[in-house]
Order: sequence, then C-alpha cells, then structure tokens
Amino acid sequence: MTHDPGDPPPGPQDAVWAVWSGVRDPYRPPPAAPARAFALESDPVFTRSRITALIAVFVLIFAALGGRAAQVVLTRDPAPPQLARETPAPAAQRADIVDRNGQLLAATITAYTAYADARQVWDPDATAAALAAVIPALDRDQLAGRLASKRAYVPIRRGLTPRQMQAVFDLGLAGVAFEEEARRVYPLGPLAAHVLGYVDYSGRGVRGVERAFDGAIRAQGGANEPVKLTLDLRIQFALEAELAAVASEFQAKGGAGVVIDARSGEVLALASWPAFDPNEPGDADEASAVNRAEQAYEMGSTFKPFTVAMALDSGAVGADAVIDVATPLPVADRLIRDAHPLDGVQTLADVLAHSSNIGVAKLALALPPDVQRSFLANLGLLEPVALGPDNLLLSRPQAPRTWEPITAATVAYGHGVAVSPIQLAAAFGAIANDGVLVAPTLAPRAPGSEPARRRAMTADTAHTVLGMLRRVVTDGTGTRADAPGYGVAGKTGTAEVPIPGGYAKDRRVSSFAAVFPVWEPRYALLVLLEEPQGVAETGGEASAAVTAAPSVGRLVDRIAPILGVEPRFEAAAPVMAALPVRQASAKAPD
Amino acid sequence: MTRASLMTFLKLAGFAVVVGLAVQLYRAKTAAEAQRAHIEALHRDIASERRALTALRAEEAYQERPARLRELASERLGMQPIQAYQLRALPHDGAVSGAPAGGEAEAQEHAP
Repeated sequence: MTHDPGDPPPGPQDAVWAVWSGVRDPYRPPPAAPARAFALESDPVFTRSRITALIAVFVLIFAALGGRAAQVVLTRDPAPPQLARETPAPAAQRADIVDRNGQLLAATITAYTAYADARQVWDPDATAAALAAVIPALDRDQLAGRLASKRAYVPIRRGLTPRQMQAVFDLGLAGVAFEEEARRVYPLGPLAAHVLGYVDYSGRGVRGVERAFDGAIRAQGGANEPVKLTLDLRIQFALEAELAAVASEFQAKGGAGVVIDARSGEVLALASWPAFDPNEPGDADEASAVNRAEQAYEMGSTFKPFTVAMALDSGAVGADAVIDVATPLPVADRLIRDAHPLDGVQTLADVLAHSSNIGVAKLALALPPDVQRSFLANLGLLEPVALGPDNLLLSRPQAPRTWEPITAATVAYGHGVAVSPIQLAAAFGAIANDGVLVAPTLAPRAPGSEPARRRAMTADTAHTVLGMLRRVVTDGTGTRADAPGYGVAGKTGTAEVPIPGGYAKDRRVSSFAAVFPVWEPRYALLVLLEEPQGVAETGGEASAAVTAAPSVGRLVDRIAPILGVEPRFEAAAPVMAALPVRQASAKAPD
Repeated sequence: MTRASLMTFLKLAGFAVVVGLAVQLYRAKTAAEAQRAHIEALHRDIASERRALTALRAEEAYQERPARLRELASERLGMQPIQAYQLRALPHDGAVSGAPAGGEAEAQEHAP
C-alpha cells in the first residue's frame, strides 16, 4: 500500500496502523544509516511479530486462568490432605475380639502419647515434677534431665488414657503436647491371655488368636465387625479361677485346663497357669509365657480308658472280661507293677476304677502293636492338632518311632507318648460323643457347616467305657471328682516326668480328664497340674486323686448351671447297672 | 427494532444468561463444597463417637470382669455360685417337680 500525496497527511492515530501495516511515514525523512541492532528494533516486520507474540502470550495466560477458573468451578477439589492425628494407626484397623456371647475380650482404643518440645519448656525441673505428680510411673529426675536437653521431641509417656491426657493437659505446661495413637487393650487383663495373645508396637498380632486370626481381624476391623471365638467367658473364668486355686494350693510349677463341647468340638475354655497380662506382655516371666495347654505331656493313667476301648473295639475282650492283676508283669527287661496292688482277677471296670497298670498292659499286649498305634492315631493323639488358622495353639505330640511290645505296654498306661491337654480332652470327647472324634476349634462353626469328624470307636464301645469312667468316680480313684447331680465320669492320671535316661520319681504331672453329664454326655474337660507338691491336708500326697480330681468336681459344680445342665440325682444308676461286675467265669486275656 | 439492535439485544441477553448460569453454578458449587465439608465433619464425628464407644465398651468390660463381679456379689450381696441341690426343673404347668426320694435325700446330704 502507498500513500497518495493528494490525501491529507496521516494523523497520529494512523501511526499505529502504519506501523502495523508496514507503511513507512512518507513525511518522515529516511533514517540515517542505523546500527544493526537499531535496525532490528525499528524493523516494522519485527515489531509486528513482537506484538503478535505478546498477544499470544496474553491469550495463553488468560486461557490458562480461564481454564483453571472453569476447573475450580466445575470440578471437585481433591480431598484435603489428612492431618497426621486423623490417620488411623495399623492397630486401629483391628477388629474387636469377643467371646461366643459377644463379651469383649480385646479392643482397640485411642490412647495418647505425651511429648515435649524441650526448647519451649521454661523450667525442666518444675515441669518434670508436675508431670510425675499426674503420672506416677514417670521417673522425675530422668525426665527433668531429658527436658533440659533442648531437643525438639522428648517423649514423655505412651498409652495415656483420655483421663490421664486431660489431667496432663490441665497442668497447662508450656511445650507439652499430645499425639493420638491406636492401642490394643485387653480389658479382662490376664483372663484368656494365652488364647488371645497380643500385638506388637506396630499393631501386628504376634501370639495366640491375635496372630492366628490376624487376617480376619484386619479384614473385619475395616467393616467394624468383631471376631467371635468359641470361648465362653464365664466358663473361662471358672476354669482359670479353679486352676489358679488348685495350682497355688499344691504349689505346682504350672497348670493347664480345657473345656470342650464334644459334639461340636468348640473349645469353651482354655487356660494355662500362671497367666500373664497381655496389656503388658513384656512383663511376663518365663513361667507365665509358656502356654501349657498346647505343651505335650506324658499323661499317665488318663490313657487307660483308650486301652480298654481299643481292646473292646477290636473284639479281643468283651465287656465282661476279667484280668489277673495279682502279680507284676514282666515285659522285655522291665517289670510292670501297680502303685496300689490289687488282689486276684479284676473286671475291666475295676481295672480302670483302681487304675491297674498290669491290667491295661495285658490288654495292650493281647493285640498287635499296630492296632494300638492306629487306634490312638484315630483318636487324634499321634498327629499335630491346631485350634484355628495359621497353626493357632499347635499341639505336637511326641511318639516313639518303633512300636515294640514294651512300647505298647507302657503306652497302655500313658507313658512313652506325650500329648497336649487339648488333644487328651478332645479324645475324651470322642467317648462322650458316641465314639466320634470332632476336631477341636476356637473358631465358631458356621451355621449349617459340619465340623471335621471321624469315628474313633463304635458307639457300643464308647458307652461301655463311659460307664466304666463313671465307676472310677463312684468307686475308684476319682471319687473326689464327683459333682453330685451332674454325673461326672472320668479318669485320674499321675505320671512321672521324663528326664534323660528315665523318669524323675519326685516330679509328677497330675491330671483328671472327665466327661459329663454321664446320662447325656456332652462336655469334656481336663485339669492338669505340673509338679504339684503334697500338703498336710493330703498327708503329703500330690497324686491326681487328691489334686486334679477335686478340682474337676468343683469346676463341674460351677460350670454345669452355666451350661444349662439339669442336675439329676438318680440318672446315673441305669448306666452303672449296665456294667458287669466281677464275672469270674470270663477268660482273662493273658 | 432494527436488525442491528436485535442482534445487540440478543448478545446482551445471551451474555446475561451466561453470567446468570455462571453465578448459579458458582453458588451450587459453593453449596456442594459446604455440604461436603459438613459430611466430612459428620464422618469425623462418627469416627470420634465410635472411638469413644469402643473406649466405653472396654471400660464396661473392665468394670464387669468376672473376678470383680464375683467379689462384689460375694461381699456386698452375700451371693455364692449356685449348687445342684438348689435347682429344680419347672414343668409346663408351673408346678415344681420334686426329686425322687433317693435323689432328694442325696441332695439334702450335699446342702451346706
């Protein structure tokens, strides 16, 4: 485009247009030869490009601002970052643990950690004194020293309750603050401690149910659903109280107890003494840390009912058989004797009632050793058993590799094979359950689900042995286990403790295994004492007959009403009448 | 109305509608934000109440622990665990069934 000389001269408003359009002002003299840089600045093409670029930059900026404005208006803001105090700790995701009736056994509560920014503490001594007055467990001098260190974070005390936190807060101390934390608590203290176990500082289950059910506890914690166990808190308390009483009375090294519903296999109570407080697991000493309910023991005479059942079940003898137990029985290089020698021949019922080693050894020797081994294996006494997932309370029995005649003879009266209290109670449950063994469990059976079960003996055998066990309580070594009205049937067991090279004559394991009520047996239980000491009241004796047996009687007295067992004072008579007594014409199996 | 003025009116009206919609959208967005904050506050309250409830349940379990109840029942009320001889089955007609003579005698024997 050119400028016609006839037109009016362009005004100032046209200057921009001229520059924009690249027309040079015709009235302005041409510039002198410029320097190169100046030439670039004044180049209209270059200037136009700069303006274009500037406009583009502004357009982009405004587009970005508009876009962000539209985003802010039209879209949801991202969630604000969670404050540290609102972030649940791992333990907060753990579900509560409750018993079969919904009674709380373990829970996760919010606790507080008191800490100090020592740089803001005015007077370390006064602050430490004030804190120690509210939290007596604090070491005042040590805390004062740490507060004088001028560090930014000085932990004062973990696990404060809301009440303790408020008390510290009310002191109004400069520099003292709190952090929330999730804390696993066991409100019943030592009750069921060995079953429940505990968690570590990170909230991970390390023992007992807390470890074995860790997956379920975490999963159900998110859904706020408690994890239910088969335990009955009332039965558990009665068992632990009775176990503690008898173990203390006889100054036992330890003890264990178990109560099982023989029909479902559900463990109603499981105890080990001495107990510990799972709220402070670090304070547990060596004796209380051991769970004796899962430990293997040579049980002694509580094995004899299984030997009798085996002999009956295999057809080697009938229920009316009698055995000559008058003289000691030589087997291999040993002589098997009775602690209290009996006269002449005895019925099977009397062999059990008076706990004759000779009698049951003869029964075992009347059969091939493999029969005994497979019979005991069928009762779950030779294989590991666990009460829940992840090998919870895993019991590992100890059995000989080879099953020689001497092995069969000693195993017949409970030496040579070591099993846990859980296993023995479950095997007695098979006698109560018409000969059917139900696997014990701590996890409730789902409605409609069938527990793992297998037949360990015929129903007739189970009924016959049950009657004999009742006779043990009415006429034999277990009379102190009687709980009038509740039909207790059971067997004493006093075993010497194995040591390298033999058995310790002065160290014993005394136990009593029982089922009740005998007219409709449903519950199996066991009380075991490790190395009880004789007392004056028992004439210095510490056998199962005077230690564990009375304890079982008292326990049944306490738990039978809770379990809804209706007392009967005449119902045991028909069971007893069906038992043969001293039929001398029968042939002894020797 | 000329075509130019009609166009101007339509432009102004359109602009007003856009501004109005933008204002409404902003208000809706602001209200939604407020509701969201309210919901989050409620969630925090629920979590807090749940924590308090758990603490109270733990406290309740602690206070009702069997050892304490037994001690209180024994010391304050003079109660003892029930014994077999204290129990009788009630038939449907409500009459107390008596134990047979032998059973009764045995029951009396074991009464303290």
